[in-house]
Amino acid sequence: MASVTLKGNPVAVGGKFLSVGDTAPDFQLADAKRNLVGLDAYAGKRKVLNIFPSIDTPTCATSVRTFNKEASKASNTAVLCISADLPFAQSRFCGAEGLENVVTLSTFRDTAKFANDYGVFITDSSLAGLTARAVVVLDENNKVLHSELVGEIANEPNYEAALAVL
Amino acid sequence: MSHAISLLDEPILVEDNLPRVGEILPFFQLVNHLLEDITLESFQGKRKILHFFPGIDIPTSAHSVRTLDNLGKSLSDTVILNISPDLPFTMSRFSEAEHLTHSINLSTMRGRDMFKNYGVLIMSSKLAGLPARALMVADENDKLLHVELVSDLATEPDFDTALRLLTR
Repeated sequence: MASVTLKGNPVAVGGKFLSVGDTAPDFQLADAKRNLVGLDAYAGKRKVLNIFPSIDTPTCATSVRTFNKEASKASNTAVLCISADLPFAQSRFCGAEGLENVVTLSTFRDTAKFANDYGVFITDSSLAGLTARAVVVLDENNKVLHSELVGEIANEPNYEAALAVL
Repeated sequence: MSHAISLLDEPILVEDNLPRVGEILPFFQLVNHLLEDITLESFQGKRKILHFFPGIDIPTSAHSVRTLDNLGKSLSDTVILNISPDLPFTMSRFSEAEHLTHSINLSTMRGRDMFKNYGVLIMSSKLAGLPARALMVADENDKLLHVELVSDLATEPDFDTALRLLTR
């Protein structure tokens, strides 16, 4: 069990967070059309997993905008923005913002399963039940090239470090 | 056990334990806009309208939430509870943008037991895990006066019939 903070207060995060060299476990998440997709939907591509608590909070929205802008520069790379938001909310945000370079995926079918498998499950505090803020970069074979569990949930992830490995 | 509603003629299975008129509301625990845990007891002594919907960013749901908030202006000693798996941030964003102040938004972000216990959990199709559209009215002792599980997910609940029970 890892620990991060939310505005300085400790927050417990369940599951084992991925380290560089690990192979990412498969997942079943709902895309914008509510179809379930796994890692094989992006076979042969590198993947940036941008994981956060909710798209309707300012820091998360900024991270999605930033990755949308930078994603178009990285070749053969899918940027997957993952949260417990419903697909309807994720689509509304991306539609309103004109974001076309990122894919949004919802954990709504089973947030606990994904969040535990990826070691990002917030288990206490006001955010209990949601996914912590994290970035995981995978190569074409789903091997972890970079991982950051953001220490303070209110802060943005380190975009440069994530993009540098690509 | 399950029974079927539909969306655009496609059958959708829903958990089959809808509470009936005359029964007492089952316990629930949800999360409010301040991310606090809220239970049925939080609204003790009030009449209750429970409005279940699959997501506030679906136009039909958005319209229902607006309609109900407007109707709420004329009701006394009654709480209107909008209940969905939307995160509290999403529902707050909607209500603030629309200036809705007569209804309370509650999220199942920490668990969907309520949808099971209230017989509204969708069990098949791409919407599995979401609640069907439903409207329930309870008196100040949590006794159910009205229960409607909307049979076509693309349509809204019958608010007039439900509201008449509280205004007569």
